[in-house]
Amino acid sequence: MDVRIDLTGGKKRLTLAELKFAKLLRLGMGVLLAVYIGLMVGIAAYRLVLTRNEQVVIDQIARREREIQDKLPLETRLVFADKKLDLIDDLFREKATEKVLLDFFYGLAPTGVSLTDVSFAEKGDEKFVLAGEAESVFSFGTFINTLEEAIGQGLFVEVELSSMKREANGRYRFSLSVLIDIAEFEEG
Amino acid sequence: MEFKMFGGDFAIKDLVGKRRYLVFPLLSVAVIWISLMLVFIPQTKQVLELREDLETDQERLERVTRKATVLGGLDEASTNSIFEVVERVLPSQKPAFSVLASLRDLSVESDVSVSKFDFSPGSLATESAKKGKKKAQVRLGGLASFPMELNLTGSVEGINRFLQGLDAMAPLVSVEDISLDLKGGGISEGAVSLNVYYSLPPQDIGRVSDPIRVDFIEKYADLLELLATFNVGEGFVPGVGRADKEDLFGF
Repeated sequence: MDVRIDLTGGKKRLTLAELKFAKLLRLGMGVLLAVYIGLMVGIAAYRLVLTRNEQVVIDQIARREREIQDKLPLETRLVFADKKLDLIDDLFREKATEKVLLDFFYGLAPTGVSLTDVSFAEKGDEKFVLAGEAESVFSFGTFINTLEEAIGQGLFVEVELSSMKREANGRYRFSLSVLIDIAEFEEG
Repeated sequence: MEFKMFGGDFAIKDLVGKRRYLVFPLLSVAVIWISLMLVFIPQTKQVLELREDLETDQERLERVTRKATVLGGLDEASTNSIFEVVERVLPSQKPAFSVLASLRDLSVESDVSVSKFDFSPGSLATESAKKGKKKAQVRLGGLASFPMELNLTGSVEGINRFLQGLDAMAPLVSVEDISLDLKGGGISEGAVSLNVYYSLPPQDIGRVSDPIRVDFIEKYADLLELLATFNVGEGFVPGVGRADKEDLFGF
């Protein structure tokens, strides 16, 4: 008869496989913990390096900004000059366009007609007021013909005689309003 | 639940029953979990933020270094001379006295007499300049002007020279209207409406890290050369406007 006595007091002992697994589990967790601690140390070290680098960069920025501050009067003059030159350039361009228009009007006046006033009806408008004197009705008629030709060329949209008066000296004083096609002028 | 593993019988239930084998793994998991929540994740977030800050600061450093290098490489004398030329042509204050000085010189050079002038530059800020026939104008973009009217007497050639001289006069003016009355004996009378230009200084010149433009010196080299030839009335000293305020006692 085969008799078996349980000397463990009823508690079941782990099998060899279970013992191996438990050992492996402990080892695995140990490795994981070590890797994790290593990672933490790595991140802490990286953070330290970043903080130091950041401080170095901040110090360098402060130094450079001090250099710039020392040159502030120069920078201010440079910025003012830059902005003002832009403004002057724009103004010159605008004046050049106006000059072209005014030269054009004065160029239209034939012999015997003198323009005494050429002005924008309103600044930047496309309507001009021309005033002047003509020696005779004939020279004034020649001037009107020139203006009509300009309408035919599409440069003027409309020409209107505002007033005309014969002066005591025999000359004719006139005033005209002219609406121009600015696009045609710009193309020309 | 039993199964074969490591060459033998394996039961999770048996293993759980022997707690001493699980203390270390469970403790490890607990430590990792807690420190993950309390240390690792916040630390990682801080590191990422630091990296972003560092990148931003490095870019800023590059900008300020570039700017400091540009400013350091500038010839102070030539920059000041550019500024003075520009300031003479387009002053930072209403150029009431300088325009009178320049017109006086121009009239003498052109042999034309200015019989009357009328101008209203305004007493304080341009917007408050409401006296006189026309209001002083403030243009967008920093260009401001005030009107001026002149009555001229002289020969047609003289008046013509005067008008041409206005194109090369500092401070800048533009002719808005011209009326000529031809009198006998080669004498003419003319009425000229002008706009006199100036530009109030900007409120600020930007942040210290903003890039600085110096290419405009090359771009406007011809213009600067032209402006340097502009005539300015004797006795005019270019002033430096304040960046934050208009000079209230300019007149």
